[in-house]
Amino acid sequence: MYKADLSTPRRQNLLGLIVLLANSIRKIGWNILPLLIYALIKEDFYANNKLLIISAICVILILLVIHSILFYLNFLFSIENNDFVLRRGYINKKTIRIPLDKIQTVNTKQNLLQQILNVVSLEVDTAGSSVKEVSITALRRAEADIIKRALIEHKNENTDETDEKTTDKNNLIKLSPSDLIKIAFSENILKTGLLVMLTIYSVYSQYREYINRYFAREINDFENQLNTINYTAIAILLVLFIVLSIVATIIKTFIIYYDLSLIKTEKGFELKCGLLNRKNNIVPKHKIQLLKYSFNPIKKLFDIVSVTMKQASPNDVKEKQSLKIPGCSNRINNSVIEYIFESYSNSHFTTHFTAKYYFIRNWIWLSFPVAIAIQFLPEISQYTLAFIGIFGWFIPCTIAIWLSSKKRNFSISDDIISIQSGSSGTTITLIELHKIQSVKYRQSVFQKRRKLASIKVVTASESISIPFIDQQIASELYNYILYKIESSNKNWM
Amino acid sequence: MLFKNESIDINSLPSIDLEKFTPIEKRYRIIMVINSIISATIITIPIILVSIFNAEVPLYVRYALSAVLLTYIIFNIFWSRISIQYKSYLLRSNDILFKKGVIWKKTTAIPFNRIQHVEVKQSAIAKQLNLSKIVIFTAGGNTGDLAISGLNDQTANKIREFIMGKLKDYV
Repeated sequence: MYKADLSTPRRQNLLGLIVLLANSIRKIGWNILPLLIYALIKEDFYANNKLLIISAICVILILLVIHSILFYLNFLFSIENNDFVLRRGYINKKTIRIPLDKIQTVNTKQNLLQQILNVVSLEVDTAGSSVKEVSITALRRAEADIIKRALIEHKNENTDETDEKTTDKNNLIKLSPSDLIKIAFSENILKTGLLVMLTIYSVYSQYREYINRYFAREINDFENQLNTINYTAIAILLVLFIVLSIVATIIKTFIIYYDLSLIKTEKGFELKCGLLNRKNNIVPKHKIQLLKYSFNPIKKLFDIVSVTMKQASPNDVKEKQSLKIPGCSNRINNSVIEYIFESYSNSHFTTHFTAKYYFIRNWIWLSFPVAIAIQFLPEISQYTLAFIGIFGWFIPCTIAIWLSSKKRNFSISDDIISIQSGSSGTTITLIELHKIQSVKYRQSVFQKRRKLASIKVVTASESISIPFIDQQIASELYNYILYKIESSNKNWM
Repeated sequence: MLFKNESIDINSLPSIDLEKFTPIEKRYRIIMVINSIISATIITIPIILVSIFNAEVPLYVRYALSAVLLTYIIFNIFWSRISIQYKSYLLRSNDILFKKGVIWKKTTAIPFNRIQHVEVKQSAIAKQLNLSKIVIFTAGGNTGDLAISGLNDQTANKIREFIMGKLKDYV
């Protein structure tokens, strides 16, 4: 195997120049796009100022090329004395030094251009929020793999014979296009649809003037049709909206999760997915802080659960630090859980439910603001208002709250706590007790009257509350979690 | 009972219900009141400025405004008297606990082996009163951090030393 000498500072692959240039063109391009569109659409402006516009674009391009070359030449990285060192910048020179044991994850990513050029970008994430994330834009795959290994498994540098055993790798999940379509149908289709509508509307309102000018007649016709209440038109619009939502969800699912594969490695997991941006994350299992899996009635029908594994992360980069699998079968979910939580299969869980008063509290929180808000509404028609209020808001919300208080519970075994939540769907969060960072015991005077209390557990990736349980159980849980953390000599990271 | 566990008896675990918490210094009330006055003025500064420089603001609005401000401050003076009694901490051999809240009571516990680092802070006013604030950071981010204000200067430093000594054992 070719062994790179990482101790001397080195540059990235020469192809990185192209990637850097493309990135900066894209960045600048997005900012001046509205200006450009404006210049092109506005009558006569382009014709009169042709020379000015073209020369301005040329100057910007030349500047970007010079910037990219300088940036490329001054971008050096190396591993020195157990530190990952990165030198960057030509005007403001900057040296970033990260101790290897502070490195959380090393991920590789490929956007479309990088896929064509056959290079990958390497991103290094640290546990602290103080160090900005570090990324190298272009490396050959083999080189990236070596650096990745050097960064993550630096402790086993001397015994690097073992990582040649690629045949040992266990392919857990591989999603085919038909799987992805199934997953897309079980996602929250309406949410995606509404988001698409919102985006379309915001683009429309930004360029309203021009759109109105070019499509004046069509818009007029459409508005005329809308003015006469036409049930077929409403039906068509509804169907159109649903179709649009489904198509958008399928496209979204394909772009993010295309050709997803989850591989079980000796130390953890390796996840690859994406259509335009292919990413490749390697996560050692001891760094996983919590695992969440969720399902809803449709997912149950298809035997799909979606699984998220979260790593320690500072607040601002939460999304990045999680491995999300949009769908896998229950059996595979179980094997993932058993792999991370070694004692899961032979631990006995005792379940405790949330008190009924949780429903009442949430219901009061819901009904008071609405009841007050209704008082301030202008008197359109008391009956319509009451009708919309009761059937459109009150009854659905009451059902949702009732379901969510019924589903909320927690189960505990010797080493693992499992917290269930959700209203229409169900989400289950599994945490190993020794990975909890701090515990909070909460009790309001209203809870005290009913001998209830809430517990909040804080982990390095998320904090989760266990509301309205019996105060005796709550204080036992509190004491037990503290005992588990303090008596355990297992590392949380 | 939480659950059955053969190797340990849940009831034999150290329980927070039985232990005695140390209240924070009563002098801290002064800072609580000053803080509430500062925050109230910052919020109302724009309104005060407008009503001073704009003669069209009716007199009763000015009276109402000052009445609200005054009530808020008086309320805070009384409230701080009550709420300070509920702020207390407890240092055990393996963790630190902090209790607060009058209506919504909250007890936060941080085990020493999950602490990232400890800071002792002191504002200018607190320095006059010989008070310090101890801030304990965990990997849990903002929700996982713990700040205990209103400690004697020496006590805060002693606690910090104690925790730092414990931290050395875990590394």
